[in-house]
Amino acid sequence: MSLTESLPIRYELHDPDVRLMLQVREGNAAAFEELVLRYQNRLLTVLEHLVGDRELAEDLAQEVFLRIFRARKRYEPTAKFSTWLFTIANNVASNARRSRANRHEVGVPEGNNNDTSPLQLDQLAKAASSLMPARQLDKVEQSEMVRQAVAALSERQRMALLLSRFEGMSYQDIADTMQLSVQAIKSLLSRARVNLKEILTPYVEQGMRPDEAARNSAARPELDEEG
Amino acid sequence: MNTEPHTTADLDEELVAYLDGELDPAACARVERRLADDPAYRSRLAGLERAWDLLDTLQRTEADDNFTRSTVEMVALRAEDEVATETRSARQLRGLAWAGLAAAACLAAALGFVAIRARLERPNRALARDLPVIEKIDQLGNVDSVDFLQQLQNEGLFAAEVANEE
Repeated sequence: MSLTESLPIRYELHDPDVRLMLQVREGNAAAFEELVLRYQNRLLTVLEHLVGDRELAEDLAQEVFLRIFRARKRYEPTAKFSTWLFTIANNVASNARRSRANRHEVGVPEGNNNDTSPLQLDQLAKAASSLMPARQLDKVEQSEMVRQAVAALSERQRMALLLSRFEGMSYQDIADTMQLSVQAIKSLLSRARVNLKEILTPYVEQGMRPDEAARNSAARPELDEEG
Repeated sequence: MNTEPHTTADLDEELVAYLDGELDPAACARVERRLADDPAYRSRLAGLERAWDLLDTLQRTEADDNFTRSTVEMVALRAEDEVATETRSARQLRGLAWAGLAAAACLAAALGFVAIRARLERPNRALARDLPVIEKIDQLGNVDSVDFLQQLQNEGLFAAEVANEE
């Protein structure tokens, strides 16, 4: 890559999605539909795990696409398209969480904003025939337990983790997306993965539910939120 | 960078960065040396890796056709709204431009009227000023010296007559 290439030209040359977005800027509706098709599953996956609710995730994803469309006329490719899209997604999700917290007039507890009721958790725990070490876990149950463990993380840890895991983003790209420093992302991801290990290990080894493990890990300050 | 991690948090940070391929070659070599020598360090890495691998079981969301369709339709509607708003704005702008033009024309006409009227009135003002002299032109004709008349005017001899005329 030439050192003299300006940022917009570099992204236009190397990112096909940037080229599609530039076509959207010129009024090409088919290019916008193509972008929706390319990103809808990726965006919904991140948003659903971030907010813990499919319907809300769909509303937020539509809001993200709408914002992208609205911004088309002043679009300049100064970053990878995916970084730009997930930056918008991060802002939209944060706004939604804030307005939801305001509506309830109390803060929504971090890491507990999923729609699985305690009854479902109890049923899962029964199905897991708890305290049986190293047992073969049913795939669906395991997936649900991992989902619970991810939901127990703080929102920022969860977002960094999802971008790293599902989007395969580098620390630099995650930092750009979340508007944080690379060091902050390094720290966030480390704590996220350590917390995940702390929450999931008791479940894998002893059948302890993630919400119980999360409570235990929350009691240890070094496993809490970053900073 | 070649700083050894001192706390557990630093250690985890380094291990996670190692797993994510985000360490520089020197730090990477240091981690690998320690992994070869330190079973507890190795075990810590394995634990982090195991939990990370469990994320594979997380379901990925698939959008249905309805989502795609409704998203594209919503955006198309928004585009129509934008076009309608822009058309409305353009029409309003045109209306404002015409109104402005008409106002400017009226102003120009009024200014022209005042200017022409002032110009037309200028000879009348000169006649009014010279009226005392015109009325006495026969008498003043008997005076030989213009300088003498000038002196009389400077002394205010005609002022009373002008005031009377007015």
